[in-house]
Amino acid sequence: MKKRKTLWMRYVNLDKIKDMLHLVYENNGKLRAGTLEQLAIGKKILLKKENGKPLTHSPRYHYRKVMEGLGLVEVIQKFYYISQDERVLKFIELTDFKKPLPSEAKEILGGIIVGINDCRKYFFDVFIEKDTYDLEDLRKEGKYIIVETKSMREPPIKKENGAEKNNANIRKKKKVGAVILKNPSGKMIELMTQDEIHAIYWGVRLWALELGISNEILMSFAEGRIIYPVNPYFSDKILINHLLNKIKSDNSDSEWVVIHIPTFIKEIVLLTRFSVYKIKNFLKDLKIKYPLSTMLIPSSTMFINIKTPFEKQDSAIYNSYLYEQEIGYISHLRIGKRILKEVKI
Amino acid sequence: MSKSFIIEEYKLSRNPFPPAASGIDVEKDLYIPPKWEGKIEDYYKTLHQGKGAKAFPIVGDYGSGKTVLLKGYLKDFFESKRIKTIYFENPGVKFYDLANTLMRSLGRYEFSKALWERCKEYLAERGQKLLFPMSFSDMLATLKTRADRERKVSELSDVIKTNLNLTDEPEVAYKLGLMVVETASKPYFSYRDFVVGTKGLVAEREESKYFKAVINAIIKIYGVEGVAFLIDEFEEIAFPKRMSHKQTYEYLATLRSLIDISEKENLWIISAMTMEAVEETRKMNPALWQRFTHQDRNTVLNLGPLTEDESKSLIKWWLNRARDEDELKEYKNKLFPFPEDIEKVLKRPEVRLPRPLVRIGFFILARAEKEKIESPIPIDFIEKIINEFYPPQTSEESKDGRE
Repeated sequence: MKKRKTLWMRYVNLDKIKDMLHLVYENNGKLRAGTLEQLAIGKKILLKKENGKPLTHSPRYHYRKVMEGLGLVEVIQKFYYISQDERVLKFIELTDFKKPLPSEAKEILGGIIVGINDCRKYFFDVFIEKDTYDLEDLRKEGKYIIVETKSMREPPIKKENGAEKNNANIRKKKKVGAVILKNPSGKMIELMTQDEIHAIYWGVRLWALELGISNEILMSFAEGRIIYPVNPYFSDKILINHLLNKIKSDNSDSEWVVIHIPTFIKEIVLLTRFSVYKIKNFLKDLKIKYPLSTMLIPSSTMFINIKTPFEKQDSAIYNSYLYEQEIGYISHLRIGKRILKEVKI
Repeated sequence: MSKSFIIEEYKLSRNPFPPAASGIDVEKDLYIPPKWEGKIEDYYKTLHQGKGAKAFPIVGDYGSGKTVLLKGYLKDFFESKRIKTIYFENPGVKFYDLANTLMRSLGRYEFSKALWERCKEYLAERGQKLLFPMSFSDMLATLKTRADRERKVSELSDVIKTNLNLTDEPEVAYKLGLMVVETASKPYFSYRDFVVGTKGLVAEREESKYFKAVINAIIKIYGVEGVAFLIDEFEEIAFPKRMSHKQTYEYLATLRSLIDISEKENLWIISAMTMEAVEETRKMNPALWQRFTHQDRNTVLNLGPLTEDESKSLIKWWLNRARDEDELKEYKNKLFPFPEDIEKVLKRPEVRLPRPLVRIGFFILARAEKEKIESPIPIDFIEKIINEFYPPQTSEESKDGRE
């Protein structure tokens, strides 16, 4: 078999992958590439979301290659067969055509992805020291990483005098837009080519996010995106203790302590790798449990928006804020010091 | 004719609470919690004597009373100390936006006239005595040719620099002189006047010095001891989407320039900010934030929720506004028609901010009047309205979190 020079991973909708897998299952060994694609179009799977037209050749190709790469299907003499891997069969059993992926199925798919060599070598390896690991190890022992992109390394545009400006123009040369994934322990993966960036940064990374393997926070453009494998053993005791310590360390004369929510989330994430969603729910629950000692403080989006020059990063930035309908984004939590007497650990 | 229900039952000439409860027409003698007054007095005394920036931020949530404090309290506070206040509402992040707002609020004609009046006595000393004193408009009328105007600018800039000591920069003095002389042809300021360039009034790379000269001019011509800028959320300007890097830089540069000037001149900078603005400014430039808040002294006025007693005092202040009539005066400083134990339904901190209190006050009275509720208005009626406008959080809502 001819060895691929490029990576096969791309961002594809995992629900559509599941639906295509069901098509193969129902027509095991009967479909070739073209007929599988046509059937998927006919069943309204490989259609563009915006206008309902069939996907072009390239994304259709990627859907098939991702199924092959993940080992969900086998291609024998150009015909598609369902893999005999027990995990795949279980995945099919747990899922339904055109219905969302249940959490058990997500877990199986996550395990499969973490087990794939290309995904490990270019992405998951950077989170963990040992060479042999599975999804559970990654969740237990993985570390957070920081993403460094090309634009973060570029110097500021502002130049004061003309001479410097001219020199800058002479030196102007398109840089390779490498994306570096750095583990604080020193381990790192450099995504140097466009193919690697598409396959990993815009492919495997987003699968991991969607499947709940990882979570991401972005405090500001300058600090870079933090990605971490989610620790499933959530405990609100750690959060309560962290919060109470913050309140105890406040030596102002005010009866209130103001907590910046994104900073609190970041501190907890670096300490525990708990899911952002659960940390936010913990903060919302505080308001329910201690309504007289807590207060959610809304913020305008102006100062949230300036944290990054790139609009596409906004959603990651907003993810560290609470959101309440009809109120908007909540940036701070005001907590009365009397909560120290109310909370029982 | 029978009296209306609100007078008869509630002893109020009208519903005194404004319905929107934002952008209230601020009056004098507003109710300000004593702890805020104490802190402001304390910061003033400390910063007045010290060498650092005469500046402090007022930090608060929406509806916490920042604007009211700036317009309704700090204005009088500074003016009682012979410090002229200038209120800026969302002036923009650029330095010239601030200059623009300042000069427009003073008015070109009035400012130029006042500056000329101060220059006039020194011009007269230089042998230009006239039998009848010349008015400003008469003086402008004499400047018919370009040569006349050039000569007058030169004379004025010399007085501005040498006699009034508004600046030691000849270019800045020249631009101020030009402002006076050109008033005949341009009685109003335009946007371009404050953009650095050949046609503008601000000298190239001298924005800060120009601004300092204007501050000195204000002090001299208004006969005050200082100037206080009351800046209401100057970061909160209506950009369509986001601040660019350049605008962020300009925001910080403007803040730095203001703090620089306030360290050397009697210029006070009081800036109302949201908490996220504080967070980001502190991160973007920690050293600048320390100068603004005076490090160890930590001069940040945080407007938290009022206490239960303060909330009751605020409600009484508003009720008093509808009790000026003789027959109602005996009800002044009373919570009536609200029950004396209204604090029972003011336990949640989010309803103890000034704006929610005023809003709640309006709707309770409006509904009670409409439904002809007997006084004192029952506590459960009040609670129902509070919960309608500020629903308490429940577990159901919590589950609706965004991922």
